[in-house]
Amino acid sequence: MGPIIPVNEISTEINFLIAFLIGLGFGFALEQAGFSSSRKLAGMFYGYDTTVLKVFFTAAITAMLGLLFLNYFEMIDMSIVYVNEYYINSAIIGGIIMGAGFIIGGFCPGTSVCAAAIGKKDAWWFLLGSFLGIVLFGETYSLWEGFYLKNYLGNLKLSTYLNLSDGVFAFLVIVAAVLMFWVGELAEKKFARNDITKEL
Amino acid sequence: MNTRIILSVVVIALGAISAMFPSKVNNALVPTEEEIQWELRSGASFINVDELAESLINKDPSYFLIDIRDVKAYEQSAIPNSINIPFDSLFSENWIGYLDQNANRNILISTDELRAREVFELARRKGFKNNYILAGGFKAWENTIINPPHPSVTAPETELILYQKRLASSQFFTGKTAVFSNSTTKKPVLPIKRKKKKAVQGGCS
Repeated sequence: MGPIIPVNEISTEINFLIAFLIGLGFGFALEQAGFSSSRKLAGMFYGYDTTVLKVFFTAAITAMLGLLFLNYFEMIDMSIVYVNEYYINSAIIGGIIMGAGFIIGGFCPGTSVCAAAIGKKDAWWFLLGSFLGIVLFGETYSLWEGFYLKNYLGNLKLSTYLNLSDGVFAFLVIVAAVLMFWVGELAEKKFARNDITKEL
Repeated sequence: MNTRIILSVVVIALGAISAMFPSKVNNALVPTEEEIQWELRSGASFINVDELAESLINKDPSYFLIDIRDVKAYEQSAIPNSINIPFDSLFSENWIGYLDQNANRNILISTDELRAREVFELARRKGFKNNYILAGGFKAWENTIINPPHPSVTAPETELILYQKRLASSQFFTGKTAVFSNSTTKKPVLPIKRKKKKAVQGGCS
């Protein structure tokens, strides 16, 4: 069996077009899953709504299983699938800033665009804040550069780090995800709140 | 049964199956043996010395010349702008980056083309692209560009033009003076004089 798409090189324009279409689909899916509501998103932190956890874990598991199976049946070449580069310092600091922004603003970068698209004013302000942050970071990059690039581990995969096969690692992630799913269900019952969106 | 429980079981089962997969690395960029042989037979992976000379004279930046002969042979004489990475160390960690790249067209130069072919095949099996073989190798370069053979007297004009071009290349690369043979220059065609018509003579006049 060959690759799913037997094209080695795609021109930049087509690449952007594909990215645009995938982006539209992603935005649509986020909106449909209710991710343009900051109450739903913030619910994750208070335990009354764990949709975020469920949706993102489901997406991760689906993609992970899909890649593993396609790789096994020689329909995808995992060696040319891009693995994010890992900068420890940046990941930790970025994670904290992102988490804080998430709980304060009620959106993550993707969902804020989604909510802005359906006309939510708080999302517009959130987006403005994000852009200001980006500009500020870009302008002061030289100050951070050393710290930002420190502790670079390359295109590291957790499975490689733990010396496990991709399949075994995927299985562990799935078990963790299913456990989290059920814990989420329990949390939703325990911290249940009235659905304000329906009252408005 | 509750749908959520069914889904949980299915997902865990799929995960368990994937955990049993042997780790496997596909490489879509690696061509099959037949494809490599086809690339060699089609001639698309070769560059001839005339093309190379022209691109060097035109200072084409896309070419990168890798001389894979040993250091001694390289030091004796080499194609200008070529770098020497002997065959034995070419696939070592330090030098493999030169073969595995997307920026240049690598031209592999060996004494004849056999070693370069070998390198080409090994590189293709690893999925590396952009490597080409200098047809005929360094010998062809010396015998064709540096010391071009004089075409035979009966050679067609195209060959004579090619010879002149090679002489010029030789002059470019070695600095020696080009001596053009007169035989290659066309003799001016003189008009054939027609005999003047004479008035009809003889007969009864």
